[in-house]
Amino acid sequence: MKKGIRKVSLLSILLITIAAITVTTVFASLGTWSYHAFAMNISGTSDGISGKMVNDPVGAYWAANILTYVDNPPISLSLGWNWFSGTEKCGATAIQNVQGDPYYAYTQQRAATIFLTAQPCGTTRYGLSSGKHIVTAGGTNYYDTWTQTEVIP
Amino acid sequence: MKTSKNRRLIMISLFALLLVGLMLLGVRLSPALANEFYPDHSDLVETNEPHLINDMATQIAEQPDAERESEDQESAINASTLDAAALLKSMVQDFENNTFSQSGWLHYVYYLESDIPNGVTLPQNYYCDGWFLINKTGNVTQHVISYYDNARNLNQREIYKDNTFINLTTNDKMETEGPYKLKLDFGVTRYMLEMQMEGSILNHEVSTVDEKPMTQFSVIGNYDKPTVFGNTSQPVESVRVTTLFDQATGAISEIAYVYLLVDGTEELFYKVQTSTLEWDELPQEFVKLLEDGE
Repeated sequence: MKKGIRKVSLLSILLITIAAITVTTVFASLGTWSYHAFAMNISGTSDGISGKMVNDPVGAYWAANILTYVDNPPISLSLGWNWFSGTEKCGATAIQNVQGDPYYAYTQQRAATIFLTAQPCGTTRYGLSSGKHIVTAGGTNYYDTWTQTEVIP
Repeated sequence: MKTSKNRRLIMISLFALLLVGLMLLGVRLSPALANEFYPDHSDLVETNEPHLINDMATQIAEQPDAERESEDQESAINASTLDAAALLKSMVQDFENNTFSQSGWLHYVYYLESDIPNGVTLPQNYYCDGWFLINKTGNVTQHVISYYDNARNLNQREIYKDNTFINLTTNDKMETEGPYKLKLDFGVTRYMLEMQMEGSILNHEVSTVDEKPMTQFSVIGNYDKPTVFGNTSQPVESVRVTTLFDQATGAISEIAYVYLLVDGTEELFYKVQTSTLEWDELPQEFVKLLEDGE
């Protein structure tokens, strides 16, 4: 009996782990958003979520994107980002950096883009979208600073 | 005893099979599941993207007696720009094939100049002096790249070894999956061909620079809305990309990228001129750098 319970428990733990990995892992790549849930259960059950994306539209330019929003359920709060930048690296050498405007306002979601024309690079070109997200709830500021890096063909 | 052991073995096998099945199912479904939790927000930013105007279609429409002769004119313009595209592709291919026909250390130096701040510690105008170890498949397995300012002072140096780019000045590192292909055209050919595919008109002509005959390709891309690119001083309406091939050697000697701004003026985003492209022995100081460099 005890053995059976142990087996069921083990199986449950494994299934929960697999489900958690399945749900929280977002396979980000060039042209898709990557997300972080960084402020959980704020103003009730809502979550503050940060997103970044590097994409490569037609032509000689690429784009660094940033996004902050509140979901589960979606409500308006003061949110945005303190700073936002797009950086281009050729190998491990930064060859271009562009600063975007900061944003902070009462809304449910907000996104912004920096367009960068690709600089000459003979090796491997990387596009980076970086920024510090902010959501304010109940007088508390929640921050999330991270960088999304993709290879630009 | 034996039956109990077999039963355990079967149970473990079934459990392992179930686990693998669930993992495969999870991987297969994960983007869909993730989307449930994180809905796609591409629509928030897609509307900002500038798109190229199909100038080929516009040019055909603006021709006199377009209705009567449109098919002939359309085919003539299409043929001209397709010829230029095919020629550009083949010239770049020939240049790469000739360059990578042997293995060893390739010394490649170019000078970049720009009117626009780059926002990084590299100077606005700089020399990029690279040594690339090309293997038999034409890929780079090691490199040493030095960036110099106009006075030839070293600004930054980067090495590539063990599939890792290492900036020795900033200690920044980027890992790769394996040896990479050196892009002698910096990928600009792909951009020019993409623009041509979107309807921008690609031209080619023979010109002379410093008494050297050159084959010149140029494309002007007009955007549907003025857009700020990088650190430009004002929004950009159009871009002009030019590539010059030295007819004697078949090598790319210059690539230029120019912004045409809303006020009618131009800004040079970059001009790259190749000064050295030759096989040589790696200088001893760089041999040591690759051995010791961390």
